[in-house]
Amino acid sequence: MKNILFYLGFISILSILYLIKGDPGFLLFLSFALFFFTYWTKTDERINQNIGRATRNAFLYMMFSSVLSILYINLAGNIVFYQWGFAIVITGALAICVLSFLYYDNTGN
Amino acid sequence: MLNETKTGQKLVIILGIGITALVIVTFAYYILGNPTIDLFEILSIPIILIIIVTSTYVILDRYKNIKKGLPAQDERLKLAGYKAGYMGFISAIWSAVGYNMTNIILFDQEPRGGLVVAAVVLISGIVFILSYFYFSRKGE
Repeated sequence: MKNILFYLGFISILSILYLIKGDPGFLLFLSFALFFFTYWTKTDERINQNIGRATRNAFLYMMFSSVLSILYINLAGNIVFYQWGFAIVITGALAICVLSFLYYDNTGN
Repeated sequence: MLNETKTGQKLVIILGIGITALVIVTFAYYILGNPTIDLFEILSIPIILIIIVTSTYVILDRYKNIKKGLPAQDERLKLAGYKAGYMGFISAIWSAVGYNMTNIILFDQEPRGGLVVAAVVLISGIVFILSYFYFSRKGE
């Protein structure tokens, strides 16, 4: 599983678009470079299972928050909320993934 | 946890049936009330159908296990769920980034926020379902 997490690091290459487009927002992609560090982590069955559980939690969060965002925007007619909704979905999922992993790893549950 | 006792497992199944029924009723009401639908709404239809079909399959599978006197979900299915969730998460991140970047780089335009969210749910949902079926059958 660590190898696929490692590949997420390649998203950081998109930060080069800052040099072409000049939009500093592209620099945020640099944060994905942290996933390269997972290449050197030592894994065993327990860690693999904890990664699986953490990413499953993040995936479920993404599903629910996406559906709620779409529902809210359709009901309220607030199109501007889409960019906030998108940010909440992605950043929330990454945060839940990391926090869940730390929880499972520390508590041993 | 609720899922660890027999009564809890039955309660989870009843809740699942209730939620699925609610989704079907809301979906039918939505379709019947909107004779004209745009691209975004067309995209949301397969998403909802996928959610309905998958949840119905999982609920039926668990119900069959309980009827046989087995636990609703064994260790192998739990692991399949973890792995499928993992694949779903990775595909969600890649589809969110990929959809935005394809539009910006190839078409030089920012995509509609709603379409991005719909693409993320649709792609990762499909990946999750396919992975779950694959891992639950192959057991790897």
